[in-house]
Amino acid sequence: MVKQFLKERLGTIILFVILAIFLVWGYFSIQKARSNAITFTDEYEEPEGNVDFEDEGRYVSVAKTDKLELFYNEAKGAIQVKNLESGYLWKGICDNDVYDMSGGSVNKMWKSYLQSPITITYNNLKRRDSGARTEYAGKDCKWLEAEYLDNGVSVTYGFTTPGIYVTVEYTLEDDQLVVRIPVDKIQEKARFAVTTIELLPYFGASRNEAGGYLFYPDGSGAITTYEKADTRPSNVLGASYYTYTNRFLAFQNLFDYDSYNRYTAAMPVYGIKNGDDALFAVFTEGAENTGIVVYPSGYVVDLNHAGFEIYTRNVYNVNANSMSTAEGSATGGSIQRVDKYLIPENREVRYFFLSGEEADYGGMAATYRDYLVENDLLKAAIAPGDEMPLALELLMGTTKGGMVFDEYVTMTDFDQVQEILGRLSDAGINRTEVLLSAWMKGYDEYEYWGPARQLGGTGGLKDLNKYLETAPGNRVYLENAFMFASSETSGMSEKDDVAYDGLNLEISATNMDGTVFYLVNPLSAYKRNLKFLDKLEKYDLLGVAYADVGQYAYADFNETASYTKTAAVAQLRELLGSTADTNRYIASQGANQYVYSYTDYLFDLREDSYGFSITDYAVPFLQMVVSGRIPYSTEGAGNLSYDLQTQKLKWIEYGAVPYFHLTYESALKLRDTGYERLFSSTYDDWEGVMVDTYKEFRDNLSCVYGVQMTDHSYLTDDLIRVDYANGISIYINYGGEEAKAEGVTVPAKSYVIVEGGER
Amino acid sequence: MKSLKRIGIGLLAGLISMISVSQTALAAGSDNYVTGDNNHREPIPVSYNVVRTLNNIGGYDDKNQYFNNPQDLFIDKKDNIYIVDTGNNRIVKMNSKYETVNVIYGPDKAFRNPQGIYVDEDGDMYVADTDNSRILHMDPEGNFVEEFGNPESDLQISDSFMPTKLIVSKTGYIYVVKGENIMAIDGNGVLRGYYGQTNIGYSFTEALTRIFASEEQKKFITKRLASSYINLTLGDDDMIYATSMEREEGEIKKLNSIGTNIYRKYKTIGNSIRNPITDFIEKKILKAVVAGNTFKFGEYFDDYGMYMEPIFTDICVDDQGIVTVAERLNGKIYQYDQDGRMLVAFGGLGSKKGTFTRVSALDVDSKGNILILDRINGNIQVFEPTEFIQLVHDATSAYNDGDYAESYELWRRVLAIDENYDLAHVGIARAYYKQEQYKLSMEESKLVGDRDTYTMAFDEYKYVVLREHFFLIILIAVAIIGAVIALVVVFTRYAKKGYWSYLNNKDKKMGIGQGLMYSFYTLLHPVDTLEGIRYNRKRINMAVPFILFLLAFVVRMAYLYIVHFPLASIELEDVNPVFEAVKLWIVPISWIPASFMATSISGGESKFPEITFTSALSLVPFIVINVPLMFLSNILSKTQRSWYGVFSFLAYVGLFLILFMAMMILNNYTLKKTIGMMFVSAFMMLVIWLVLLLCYVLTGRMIQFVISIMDEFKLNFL
Repeated sequence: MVKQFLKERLGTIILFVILAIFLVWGYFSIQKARSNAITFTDEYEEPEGNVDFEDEGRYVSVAKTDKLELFYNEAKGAIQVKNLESGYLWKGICDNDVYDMSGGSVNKMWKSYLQSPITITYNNLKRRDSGARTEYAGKDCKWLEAEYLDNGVSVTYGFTTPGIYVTVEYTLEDDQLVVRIPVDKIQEKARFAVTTIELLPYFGASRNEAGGYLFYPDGSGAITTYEKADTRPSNVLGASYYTYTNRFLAFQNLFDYDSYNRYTAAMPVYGIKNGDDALFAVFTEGAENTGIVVYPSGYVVDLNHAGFEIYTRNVYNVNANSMSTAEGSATGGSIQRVDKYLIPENREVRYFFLSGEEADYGGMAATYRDYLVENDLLKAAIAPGDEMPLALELLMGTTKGGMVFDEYVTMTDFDQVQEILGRLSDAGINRTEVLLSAWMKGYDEYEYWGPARQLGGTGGLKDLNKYLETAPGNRVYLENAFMFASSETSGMSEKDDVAYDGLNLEISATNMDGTVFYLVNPLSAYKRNLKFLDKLEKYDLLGVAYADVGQYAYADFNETASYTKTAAVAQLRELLGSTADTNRYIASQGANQYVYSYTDYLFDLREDSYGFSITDYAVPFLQMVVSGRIPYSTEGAGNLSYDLQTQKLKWIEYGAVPYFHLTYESALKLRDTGYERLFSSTYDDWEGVMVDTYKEFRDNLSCVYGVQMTDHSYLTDDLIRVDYANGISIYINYGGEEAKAEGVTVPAKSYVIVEGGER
Repeated sequence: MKSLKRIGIGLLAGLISMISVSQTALAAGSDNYVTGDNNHREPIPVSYNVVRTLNNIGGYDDKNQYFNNPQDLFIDKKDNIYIVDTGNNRIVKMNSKYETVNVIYGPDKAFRNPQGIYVDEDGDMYVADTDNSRILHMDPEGNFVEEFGNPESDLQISDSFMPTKLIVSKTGYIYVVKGENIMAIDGNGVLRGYYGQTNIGYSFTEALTRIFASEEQKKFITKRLASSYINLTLGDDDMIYATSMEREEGEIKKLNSIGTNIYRKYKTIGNSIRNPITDFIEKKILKAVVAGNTFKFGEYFDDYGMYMEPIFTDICVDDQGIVTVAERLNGKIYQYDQDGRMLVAFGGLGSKKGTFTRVSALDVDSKGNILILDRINGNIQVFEPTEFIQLVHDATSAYNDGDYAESYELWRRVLAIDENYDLAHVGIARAYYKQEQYKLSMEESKLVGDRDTYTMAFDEYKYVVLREHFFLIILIAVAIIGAVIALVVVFTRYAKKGYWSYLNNKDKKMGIGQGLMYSFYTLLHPVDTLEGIRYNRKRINMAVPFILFLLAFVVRMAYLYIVHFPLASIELEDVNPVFEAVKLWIVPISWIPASFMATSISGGESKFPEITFTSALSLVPFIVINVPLMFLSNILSKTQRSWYGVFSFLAYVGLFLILFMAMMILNNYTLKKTIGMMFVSAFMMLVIWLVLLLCYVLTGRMIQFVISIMDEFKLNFL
């Protein structure tokens, strides 16, 4: 009877069982989500404010050093800093002297924005579909409280309507203005969660007449000059940069180099040059969750300004056509979800004030370099007397899709690496930085070990290691990526190894061929590196090149081991540290600031800015910071350039060593593989050119190798001068015609080295 | 295996929701690339650099410094630049140093929505003053000379006159884009006719509608128009270069004095199995998936891997005859040589230097700089050619001028910068050909898949070999012919043996070997073979049709490997076994249920097994024809493609005939009834495909729905 029933209704029963499982699962998911939801009190009553917005107040001195004096205005909650050496007054907010706000020149909102030392952006936890709201201290900060410290002032900004209170400490230390925001002094008293704090958005804002530029870490560094304002488009755009990795973490963003280059800042710095004075801001604590915003004159107001944005919570957009949330419902569009807790980090920003000769991006780079050196964050990888290396990347092998089976294409095997090094040695080149890429059989699958059999396998690698004993000037790095994995990577656990975003979704992308790619969580990346180092134990002379560690840092919300972005950076530093402990050379692609203390060689450094319409010039700021301490090559390879001479000039301008990206076999074998971008890489064809180029560099430019690049300036659009700490200046002429400047004649497409300049 | 998976998933994605992450979008590197005839992007060295961006008129004393929706840009022989600043109703003239020297708002009356400009050698300007319905002729200072309204003509023209893009020939004729034509007006404002009518093409749907529609209904059928022209320019060779929406012949045209397009035209590369049904599927339904085997101006896919039909907003030609066009949908700039081969693609949509929001016009100056006007950004970017692309231009021009030795040298220099530049290899292959080094030419052209040059060289090479080893070759030929005859005799004997042994052993089930031999008897006596099945339907072995299907597939795969390079319709690495199987089997397999359903409701006697068997038999001609053909192809080249194609066609005739006869014999139908039932079955096939497609799509949606719920469950907070 029952059997009969089961038989007849089997389909229906299965359907209901599945449905039931779904329902139960759904119930528990909702319970779990509910327990993770932010709890808030609705009993907040808005207190009476103590601020009279009409009161202009006055600035009183609250701290003074030999170089700086700090003023505070109690009525406005604003600060000013006077550079006592030059007498220049840096204003924390705009007044009518900086920008005439009277009449109808700006609307009420902008007027208050111009007068805001900080702004906050927050989400309403009750209305998820309403999006974020921003409040400006200039009109919404109704409660102000100042506590005077020995060397400054601590100000509490109370945005009473949303019940958000933020305390900011302004102090003078070591002739710097230090601004701190302790996390325990950010209070949320109602149902509003603060997600972003904009700090001193108009600090040092000025009009075009002041002359100068905004400096920001776009690519290698970029400047927007005040004088070129009238060449800009009618709709001037602002630009924003996120420290170390794009703030909005989608896998596509990590792999999309255009988007990466557009939004990522390798260093949390910016600078403003007004006339003969400059301000240089460095985020020194909690920098990981910050961004830099840059607005040249013409973006709503005719003021050039830049500032830091501090992200206190991650925000996620969830698309939902019709969905219920814990409180009320959202229909259509997307709702925003925010992290439960504030990112538990104190924030510290240091403002340096430069004047005279130092007040330019060269001076800023030197300042930052000094800061890094003092704090032991910049390795001295170049010993005095070191010879300039030749940078070489060798593609080892790849696979080519076939009709049924993939075919392995050997491009350079381990023996051929030896042969190449031998031939270079015969040509007189004994100092190289050699990257071996795609040397594993599972390289495309993001394995971390397994020298390809076709390349000579472990035996070939062993021989290469042995060879290096006899040729100590050659540093050979095995390129590896630990932060990515695919569904074909062996031993991957989706639960433990993959990074999750705050919504508890794994960070992944599916390729056209169905392969899923994952971002690996920091702990797992660290562990993979340790395993790799174990495998590498027998090959003591091989270095490791990290293709990703210097480029990506991200928070991970994996339930087994969650990381804030700051903790992730610490974990990545530990990863590099564990490699450094094995006395191996470390190379890094991507130059996020946290790798500087470990790397012996930086490769693929940017040699340009992204190319926004507001950017006037790209500058080698990053290079000036690391020059003379870490050898580096830029992303432009000599063999892939449309014109080698132009590429050489670029290397010289950026202080980079000559770099070629080659294969032993013919580049024609790379047709229809994933490496078609190596359109011209055959070693035999390039050997002569490469040797000549290297020798030209060694003969002419050894005098600046290992020396700090102190300054860089555009004499004209095509003529550039770079200065080195030992007094050597190099004039570089990109133009097709001879150029003259400062008594130096530079032939077309060439350079001139001048020793013992005035500096 | 990867390529297989890619298409599989691509199909799924394409049909369900068009989600796709393209490989190209993820790849880093140079923005400059070329696509060969297989539409595959190959990175090349940087070819153009932005040296300057003009965001305004540079402080010239005028009330508006910025451009507003500028629609056209022209550079005259002295490198003066004219910008039609449409939104501001003015013409801005700049000198070769990019300094504004004149701003014209209209000499007699104000311009209204001007859209185009042409400047002749004397500096006289011709402006398409669109909303004023006139073409205005001004002297170099911007003074009124004359105007042309709607041209007088004997033809009845009631259309309003809204000129947009125009040129003026040396003979003084004005050529204006007008829909699918280019209208010629002489110096007296008289219409001199229409010129270069685009191809209207053939529409199956329209033909059908016309058959079935009543006279009344026909009146309401709107007349289908040929595709429109978009823009045009005048070359130094006095040819009119134009862009259009015409997809059949090619969007880019080079029109000679009588309006005939003499530029590169689309054509399909010869395919041994031309199956009209799979062709239709490839072209119409799966175009986004399988597109890419044939040449196309622009590209099939944008940066995100989405299928697109390019729209070329403007075209310019330099003094060497190099054509550059701007594409609107993906913001790319494509450059072609004198023969329509792509030299470089660059640009794209974006917010950085060297990319665009909406390109409205471009032109090239005497130094080879390309000026590109963006109407949304309201700016002009000046792209300077690099040494690399200049070498390419010189090389292709040298070849065009007949200086092969020079071109050879230049191409060698190109290869020193880019070892993989396809056109350089083609150029060198051609130079070898001219130097009668056929073997080298063949090797070089095969390297980059250039079938045309290979064919030319191969044909010559064949004669050379033939001359050298005449007797030996004749000897071998005779031997082969003898062997083939012997083979045919043996084959026939076996086929006969199979047939008779099956018919005579009335109580034994068909053996596999016997069944296969029996199958091949179809070629000798199809009717007998089919009747043999009908009358012995109980004894047939169902393994045989299965093996036949498989055999046909194996033959196809072998064919792809063995067929001679210039005759191959597809590159080996692009072959997708699944898709090949579908192409091969779709008709015979879907025929089985279709014809079963059709016949079973109209007094048919045929049963499922025998339909399956006869359906498999229809592939026998394909198997038998393709086996010798693939070997034979190796002494043929592209020039002999047409009669080679006849054989491939025969395989299809055979397939059809066998299905037809099978239906007639198995069901004992009359001829007339059979024809009718063939149509019904064909209709059934269509229905089956549609139902399957629908199931596929619906299942996909269902799965997606469930996945999205599961994702929702995963979210860990509200």
